[in-house]
Amino acid sequence: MGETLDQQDLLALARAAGIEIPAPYQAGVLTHLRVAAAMAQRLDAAPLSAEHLAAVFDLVALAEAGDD
Amino acid sequence: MTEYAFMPAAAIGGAVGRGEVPAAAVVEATLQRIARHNPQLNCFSEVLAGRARQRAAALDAQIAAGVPVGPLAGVPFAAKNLYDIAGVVTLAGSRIKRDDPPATHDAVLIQRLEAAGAILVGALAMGEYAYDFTGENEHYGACRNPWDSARMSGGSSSGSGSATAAGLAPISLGSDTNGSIRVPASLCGLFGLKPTYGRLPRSGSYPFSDSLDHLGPLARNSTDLALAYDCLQGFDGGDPACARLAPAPTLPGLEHGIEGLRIGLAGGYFDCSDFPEAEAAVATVASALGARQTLALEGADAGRSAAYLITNAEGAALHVDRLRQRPQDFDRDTRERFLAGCLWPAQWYVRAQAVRRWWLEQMLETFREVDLIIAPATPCTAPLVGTRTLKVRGEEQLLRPNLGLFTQPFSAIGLPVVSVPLLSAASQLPIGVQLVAPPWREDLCLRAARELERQGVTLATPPAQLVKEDEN
Repeated sequence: MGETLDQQDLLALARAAGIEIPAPYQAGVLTHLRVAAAMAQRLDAAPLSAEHLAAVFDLVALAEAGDD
Repeated sequence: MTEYAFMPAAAIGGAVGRGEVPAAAVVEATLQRIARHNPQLNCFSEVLAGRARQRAAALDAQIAAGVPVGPLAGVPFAAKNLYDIAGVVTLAGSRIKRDDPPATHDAVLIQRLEAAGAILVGALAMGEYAYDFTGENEHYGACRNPWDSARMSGGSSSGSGSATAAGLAPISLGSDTNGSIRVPASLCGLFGLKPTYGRLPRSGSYPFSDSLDHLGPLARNSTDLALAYDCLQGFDGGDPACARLAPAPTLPGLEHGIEGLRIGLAGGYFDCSDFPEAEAAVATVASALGARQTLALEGADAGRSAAYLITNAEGAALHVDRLRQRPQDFDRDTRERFLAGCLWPAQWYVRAQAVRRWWLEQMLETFREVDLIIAPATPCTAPLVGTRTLKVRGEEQLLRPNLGLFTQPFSAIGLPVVSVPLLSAASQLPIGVQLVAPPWREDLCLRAARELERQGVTLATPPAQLVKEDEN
């Protein structure tokens, strides 16, 4: 996904999500989808552990733990 | 009409509380000033003249009867129109929500400011559904900057930035998901506080991206910011993310200065040598606060990318039904991003949440070495309304997301931040610098902000264009 994503892929994704994207919006949505793909690629740099994956939503608890 | 316009909230509260100035006089002057400047600035979406007058009369009667009043007695304030106000439709900057019934209760933070004696004078403009850094809005027009009305106010708390900078309300309430308090504070020349995630309850406000949304105040000086913040604190069960913490008042320690604090300068991702005005502002603050080390802050780029994806997914999930039914009624600039957010794979979202957790751990490690971090707030001063691109690291990129380039990594992990305003010598426009502290240490950000103010480093003058207009 990313630069290779084309109009056909976009329409297929939209169909799967049950969303009809009117023709005038399609180019813009495609641009933003490519931006999101580029952002997702940057996440690969982070060396994650199982603990990170297990506690992804516990932000408040983690912040409280950090307040010593 | 201008007598109270740029008076500090603390001074108004004191004068009204002692019975030296009637709250009704402050409110009348404020309403007249709003009527004069709002047509050009477009910062209020609704002015609540009747409610404000009623409240002022009741307060004056209380004071005359010797009943004690709060520290914000008679201080006008206004709230971004995603805060519920009883009897007013909560627009959240959208066309679609115009069809909603009016709210039946005030948001908790509005109740708290009123309990301290402040008087709500109106609801403020914002970018649609808070997905904005510019202050532009296809449905309601651009909210303009009082320093130069051809320029952006910043967003998405655009009305909050514009109204408070213009002297239409000494305190305003905004929200900050990725920088929406700090960006308008930077572009309009204000102090803005984004507290720790979970510190202030969001009960009675319209969400954008639940795991990233924060509420907070903007003001024209650090004392007013601390005063407002202290009045806003406290647990409320209406917000599941609100931490069960006792209020931690910041005013008593505000004058304690920065002695003993280890202050670092954000480097790496936050290097702003491509943005001369931001670079100069950061250097001035670093010198004034005696920042001794530059921090690499590795992981900031990934943290920002994670915030981008989480915002996109959570925002899109919130609006998916409206996107299916009424796509044509969205602002063009939000519609296409929300639609994209409905389509990309769930594993990116999970990965983004995990990276966010990892980035927070990196930052908590950094806070073993320093107590406070200095970083740029925006890459530039207020761009002209209609500007679409910004040169970032040699590449022409979309302006809208990149105004939040430096704010997004910190809100992604819920750290408390105060944006302080400086005046750029090059453009004579304001630009902000972020003071970032560990979780729950808003007091450190505020103390450093006060120290900068005491040294005369931060901006203290009303917008020159507006002063000229006031004189005519």
